Amino acid sequence: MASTETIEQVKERIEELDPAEAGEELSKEGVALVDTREPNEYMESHIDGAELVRPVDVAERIEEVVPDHSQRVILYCASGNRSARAADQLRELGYENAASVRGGINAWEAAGLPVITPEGMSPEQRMRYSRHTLLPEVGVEGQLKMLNAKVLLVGAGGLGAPAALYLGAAGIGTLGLVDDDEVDESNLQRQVIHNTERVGQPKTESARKAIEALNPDVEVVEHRTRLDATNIIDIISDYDVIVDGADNFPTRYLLNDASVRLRKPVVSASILAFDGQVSTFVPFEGPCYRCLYPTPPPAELAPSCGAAGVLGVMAGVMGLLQANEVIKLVAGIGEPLIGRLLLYDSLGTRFTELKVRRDPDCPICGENAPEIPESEMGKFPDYELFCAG
Amino acid sequence: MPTIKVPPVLRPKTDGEAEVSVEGGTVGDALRELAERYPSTNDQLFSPEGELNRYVNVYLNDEDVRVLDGLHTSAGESDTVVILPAMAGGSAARCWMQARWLSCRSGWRRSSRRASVRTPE
Repeated sequence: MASTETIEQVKERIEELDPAEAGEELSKEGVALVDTREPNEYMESHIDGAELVRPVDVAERIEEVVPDHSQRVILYCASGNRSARAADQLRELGYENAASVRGGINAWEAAGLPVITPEGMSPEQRMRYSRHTLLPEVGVEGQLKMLNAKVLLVGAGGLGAPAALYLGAAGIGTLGLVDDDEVDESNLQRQVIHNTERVGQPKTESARKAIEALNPDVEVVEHRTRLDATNIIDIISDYDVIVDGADNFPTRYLLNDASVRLRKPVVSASILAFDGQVSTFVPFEGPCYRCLYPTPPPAELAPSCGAAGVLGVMAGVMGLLQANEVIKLVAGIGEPLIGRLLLYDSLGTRFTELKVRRDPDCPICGENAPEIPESEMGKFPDYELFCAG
Repeated sequence: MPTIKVPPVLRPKTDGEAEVSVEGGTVGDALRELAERYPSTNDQLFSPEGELNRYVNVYLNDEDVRVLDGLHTSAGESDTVVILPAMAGGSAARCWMQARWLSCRSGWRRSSRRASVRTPE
């Protein structure tokens, strides 16, 4: 095949089909259909049943896609030129029965024949999320689930910062942020969603700016408050999954109790110094936070990061493990950390996994836990008192 | 000789040791040995009655001893006893009294929901 050969000369050697003829043949069994364009074109739209083989990959991959040299193979591209060259290559490789669609998918569509397009995503979104949709486990379906999901982050600090950034990047459609703090310089060592310019601004506002700049598809809802018994039911009701990045025990227990009542999954993590813990609590499917920690520890066994310090990257590692859990729950893939507590020791770079069981005597989700009537949904015990021991 | 994995918060009381080998026998024996060797850990681990404190989780390898035989669970040569307290992190060095005061503050500003919906062009 001379490089100065014209496409017309190539087409003289191969069989070409009109779109209608091709459509007729494809309605029968045993015909292989190959799309010889680039991935982004394929994702834009393609003919149902087509296998993508890029022009540069034809020689290498065609055997894998169509092992039988005598099988009928129909190839198409955008306008009929790349597929003609591919059909010619197949002829040289010993394929006896290959044909190219004259005019390509453009002519096919013009003839009124059907194509597949990922619904619900604009062309810009299809490009933005292409690295997700290329993954068989995610696909367009998984990405659409993310775009339609609502995730609440309790805390826009150490854990919330990286989680919010990556969940925003992933295209989680609605991100709620609960935080009443302002950005402080000492936060910037780990709370990478904020920056020096935004010191003094409310954390939710700072985070919102970063997320909007990263991905305009995401709606950010600011909840400039701390969760308490008076607002928690209202706030969490709107969301599908909650990321617990709270900085104190009373909030964690309150969040647990409320999320079990409303059956909302919570991805919970905590960090201190060089260590982190993460787990996923799905009410009644696995244990809840109270099954794991029935009683909070006294202050000396649970210092804050402000007192004991924390390695900045720990926030990133654990926050992103949380984001990973959220993606799995939303897209319905993989194996979330339900019933599993993952410990990370960054000094040794070691992960340890511990089993967490549902406690049959758990006062919140156990067999004998009281059923909370609708009228009592918003009433909670005093967690400060509970935590003070 | 089982190994006890000491959580970071307790390491100042075990001379900085993250792992301590003990004679063992049972999980209870192993922990009591740790408390004997490092007396300042005793109150963190055990109540005055000698029971394991409820806020300390102890695992034999990867299983909570509460679902096994509690402190009577056997701990052998190749076993690891993991002591695990809860962590909450947080920026402020809050003590419990301060936390209670903060939660009583009223009139804390709430932001309105952002109504704008970003749609791609």
